[in-house]
Amino acid sequence: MAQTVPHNYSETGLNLGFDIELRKVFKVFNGEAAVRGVDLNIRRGEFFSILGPSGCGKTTTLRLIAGFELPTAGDILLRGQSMVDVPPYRRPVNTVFQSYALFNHLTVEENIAFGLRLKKMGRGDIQNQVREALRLVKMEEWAKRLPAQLSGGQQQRVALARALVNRPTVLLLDEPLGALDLKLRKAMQMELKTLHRELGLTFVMVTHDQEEALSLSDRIAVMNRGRVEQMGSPSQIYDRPHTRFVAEFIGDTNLITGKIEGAHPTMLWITSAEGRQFKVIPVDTGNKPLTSGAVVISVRPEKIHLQYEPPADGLNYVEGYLKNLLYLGTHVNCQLQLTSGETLVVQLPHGFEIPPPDTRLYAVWRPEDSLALPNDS
Amino acid sequence: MPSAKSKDKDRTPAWLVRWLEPLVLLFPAGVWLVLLLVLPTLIIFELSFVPGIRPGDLVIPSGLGNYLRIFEPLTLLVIGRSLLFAIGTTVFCLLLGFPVAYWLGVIAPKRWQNLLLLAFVLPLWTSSLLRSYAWISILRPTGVLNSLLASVGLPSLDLLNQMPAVLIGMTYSLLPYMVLILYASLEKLDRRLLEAAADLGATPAQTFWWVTVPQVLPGLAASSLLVFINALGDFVNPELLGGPSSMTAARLIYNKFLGATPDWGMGSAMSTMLIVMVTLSIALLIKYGDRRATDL
Repeated sequence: MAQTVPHNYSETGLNLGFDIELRKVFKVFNGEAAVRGVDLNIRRGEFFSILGPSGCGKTTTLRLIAGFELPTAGDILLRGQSMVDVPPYRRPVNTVFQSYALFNHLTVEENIAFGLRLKKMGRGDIQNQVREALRLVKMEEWAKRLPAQLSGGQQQRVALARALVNRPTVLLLDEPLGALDLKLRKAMQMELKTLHRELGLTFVMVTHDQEEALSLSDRIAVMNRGRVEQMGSPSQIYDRPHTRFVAEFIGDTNLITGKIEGAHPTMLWITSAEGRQFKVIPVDTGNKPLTSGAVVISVRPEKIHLQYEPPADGLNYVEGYLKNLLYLGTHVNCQLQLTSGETLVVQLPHGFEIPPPDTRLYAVWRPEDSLALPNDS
Repeated sequence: MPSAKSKDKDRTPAWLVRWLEPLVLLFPAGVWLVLLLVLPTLIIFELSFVPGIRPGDLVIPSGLGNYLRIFEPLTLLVIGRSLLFAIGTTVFCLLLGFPVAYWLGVIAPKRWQNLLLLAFVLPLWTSSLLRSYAWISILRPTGVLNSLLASVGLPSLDLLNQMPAVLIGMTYSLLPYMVLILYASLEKLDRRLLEAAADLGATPAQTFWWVTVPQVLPGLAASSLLVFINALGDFVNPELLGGPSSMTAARLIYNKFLGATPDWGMGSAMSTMLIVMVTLSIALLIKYGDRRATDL
């Protein structure tokens, strides 16, 4: 299985490939640790997302990179240079703020020119670059407006242009689409992706929206309670979560608690509380492999098959009654009331004939479609 | 469903409510204003056209003579001195008040803000007369200030009955207004804008000039104007601290009405001129000062 994080660069001292490195970064506010030993390596030119629930420390992490907060411990490097003693106004990063933070006393073009004027750039150069930035975000016609005269989506574009026009080494985005409605958010996601591809800049985005992170990012760091739980590509995060938290936070999943009965490098034997037997292929998390103790088996709804008879080998299945059908447009999910008392969500395959309510059903999956994760919470 | 019309038959008609509501609510204050502000102002306006009127004379409006007398050198000097005091007081209040208000509104811990503000505004609760007398006892030749200076071997200062004493007294009296209004403006300052400025490469000093000051400009204008107007009309401080050399417009008006040689016409003309000046500056503030302000 592929190694998820290439630690090798920084360990050999060769950090040419990284724009940002966080090394064992801690941030304590009034005795409470918001960030607890975060290590991040963000590659040059990638779209990197920091994903997590509110209060997980993701925004604090971004603010540490921008320089608005100072780390309590640890080091932050930008292209190999320690940034800890560098004030925000000397860091080669620019931020798109969640609230946009546009200067309401300045027009759109004055907002965008703000950073260039501070650099003492010539009037003509400023004008050209502002025009170019306006074109990039399709806001040419609104140059003379004040921010208060713009819609949320337009303000968002201005905030983006104001940051991009300074040609930062890294663009930081703090929940950039959080304040937009669903349709606008989808459109802006596409535009962000396009901008990233066209500009080739390193983007670091903070979001709580797992769908947004999965669809936009090259790599994602999932944060929980001040720590990075897992870092990897969207498919690694989704298909091979390393922890129960990641499995539950990213996408929908079903969790079955059990205990390891037998361990083999390529196969785990697990017995559920109900006494059912499961075969699961172990995940290579880079840590010590699971060999014993309490675990949860994670199975995604789309990986489960429904049948009317138990499987012949008597392995990897649960039984229950059809409880609810959830029509989701592209597919139908059904809820099974299991004999163990829990519920299981199964995505019905196309063309599956919907059985009447209270039908006894068997939910079956292949060992390679499930994961065994330490039951830590 | 019964229509609202048929149900509310004995309800006061909406159009009547629309007329009655402001009348009822504004009546008491309106009477007060008309009797004690509008009518006296009109009387003064009328008197200003009567040259050399004394108490008991008949009112016969007779031309612009009083206004022309304003342009006599001695009167112009007095008006100029008033403006100088008012501008000086405004500048001193700004210089002293802005750092205080900034510290109170932006830096001081939130839970201490109200208490600290109270401490700065406390002087407002004492009589202005009392405050001036306090300054007399501090500034007079044998006062607190000179005792202190003498005790450290410095020469004594003769400030009382001079212009510096007037400026000190007026600045002291009006500083709380400056701090109060600026604080209200600075307290609302969006800190995220300061971060955005830093993010775009602005040093703290640049952030202050290009973001903080424009953001609180409406508050700056309002507080400066309030101090300016109050200083222009201040009578107590120039009278008690200024001595004969600090004749101001307000003192001159007082003298024209209640002094040894009353001249109500001239006093009224000067009052009218002061009222017009103040009204004009407020009008200018409303017209131009508020353009980009959100609320104040």
